[in-house]
Amino acid sequence: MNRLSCGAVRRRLPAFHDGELPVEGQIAVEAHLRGCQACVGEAGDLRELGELVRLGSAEVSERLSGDLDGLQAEILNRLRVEREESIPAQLSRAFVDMRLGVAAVGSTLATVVSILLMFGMLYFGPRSERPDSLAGLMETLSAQSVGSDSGMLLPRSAGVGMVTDGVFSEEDAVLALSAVVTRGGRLKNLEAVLSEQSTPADRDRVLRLLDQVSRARFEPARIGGSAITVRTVWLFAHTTVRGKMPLTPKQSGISRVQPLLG
Amino acid sequence: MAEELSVKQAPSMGWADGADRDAVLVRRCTTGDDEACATLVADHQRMVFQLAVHLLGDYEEARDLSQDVFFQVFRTIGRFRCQSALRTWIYRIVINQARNRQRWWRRRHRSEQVSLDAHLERHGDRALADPAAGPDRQLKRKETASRVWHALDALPFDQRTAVVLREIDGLSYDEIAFSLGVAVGTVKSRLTRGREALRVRLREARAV
Repeated sequence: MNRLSCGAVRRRLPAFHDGELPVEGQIAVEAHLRGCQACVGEAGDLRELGELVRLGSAEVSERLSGDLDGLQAEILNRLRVEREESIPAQLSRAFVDMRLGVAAVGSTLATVVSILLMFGMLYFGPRSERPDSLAGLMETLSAQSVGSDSGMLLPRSAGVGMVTDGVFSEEDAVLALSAVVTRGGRLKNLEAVLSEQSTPADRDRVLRLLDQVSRARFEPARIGGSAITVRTVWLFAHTTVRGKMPLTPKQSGISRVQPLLG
Repeated sequence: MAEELSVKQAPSMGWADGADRDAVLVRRCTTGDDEACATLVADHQRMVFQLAVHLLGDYEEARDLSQDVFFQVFRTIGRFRCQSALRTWIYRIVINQARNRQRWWRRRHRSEQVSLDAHLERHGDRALADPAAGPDRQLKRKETASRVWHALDALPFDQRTAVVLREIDGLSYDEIAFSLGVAVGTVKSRLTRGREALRVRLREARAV
C-alpha cells in the first residue's frame, strides 16, 4: 500500500475525523498517523475542537429537557386551533346543520330558475315592441324618414269631416291652415295664413273657420300602426259652383276639408 | 494496532425500518391523525429546538422558531416523498427558517438579540456544574463553554450550520448537503473553513 504524505493526510483529516473516508482511505490515514506525531497532533486538534463544541452544547441540551413537554403541548394546541379555523373545517361545520343547507340549496335553485325564466322570456318573447310602449314610441320617433312616401297614414278627420256651414256663402276662398295633430287626434297650434289683401270680413270668416276646425276630431297620423304626432298643413279651398237650377240651402253651405299635404 | 482503528457502531434499527416507520407516520399525519402528529413532535422536538438554539443563539427565538418549523412541517408534509429521511427533511426546514429569521434580524439591525454567550451568563451553567468536580475545574469548563459558544456565534451562518450539524447532531456529509441544499463538496469546504475559523478564535480567546 502506498504511504500517504503528511500533506495528503492533512487534506483528508477532516473527512477521516468525520468517518467519511472510504475504508481504504481510512486505513491509509490511520497507518500514517501511527508514525507521524505532527499529523496526530492535527487529528487531536480536530477531535478536541469537536469535544469543545459538544461540551458547549451540553448546557443547551440540559436546559431544553425541562421545556420540551411545554413545547409539544403548545405546538399541538396551536395545530388543533389552526385546523379548526381552516376553511375545510369551517365548510364541514357549515353542513353539520342540514336545515341551513336545505335553505341555501333552495334559495340557489330559486335564483337559478328566476334567471332562466328571465332569459327565456327575453329569448322567446315577442321580437317587435308594442306600439304603445315607451320603447315602441322611441323606435317610431327615431325612424329616419317620416313623410307621405314612407308608408305614413296621414291624419284624417273623424266621421264626415269638418263641417264649415255658414262660414263661407258664395265667395271663393283659398287659404292655408297649419296645425299639429296629436296622437290623441286633437289639434294644437292651429294657424291660418292670410293674404295681405284680406279684408276684415275675410278675417272674421277665417276666425270662424278656425273655430269650427278646432272643434273637429281627427284620426292621428300612423306609421306601422303606431299613432304619432305630426304637424300638418291643409290647403283650404272654397268654391261655389252655380248651376242652372237653384241649390237647396243645405247643398249650398256644405263643404269638406281634406288634407292635401302632410 | 487493531484497537486504534475507529469502528462505527451499527444502528439497532435499519434504514429501511426507519424509512418505513417515517412513511407510515407521514401518511397518518397527512390524514390529520392527532396521535401521529403528537408522535412526530415528540420524536423531533428536541433536535429541532436544539438546532434552533444553536443556529439562532437565542432561547426564546428558538422556541418560537421550533413552533413555526412544526407548522411548516404539518402544512407541507403531504409533499414529503420519503426521498430522504424525515429527520433530514425537518433539518432542512429548520435551517431555512433560521436563515430567513437571521436575514430579518440583519435587515432590522436587531440589537436586542441575546447571544448564547450572554444566555450562558444569565442562566448559569447547570449542565457543566458537575458536583463531583472541584470548583476550579467547574470554572474552567464554564469558561471553555462560554468561549466555544462565543466563537461559534461569530461564525458565518453557513459555516456555523455545517459545524453544528456535523459535530453536535452527527449528520453525515450527504445529510448535511441535503439539509443545506448544497453539494457535498460545498459541505466539506464549509466544514473546513468553519473549523479553521473556530480554532483560530478559540486560540485567540485562550491567549487573552
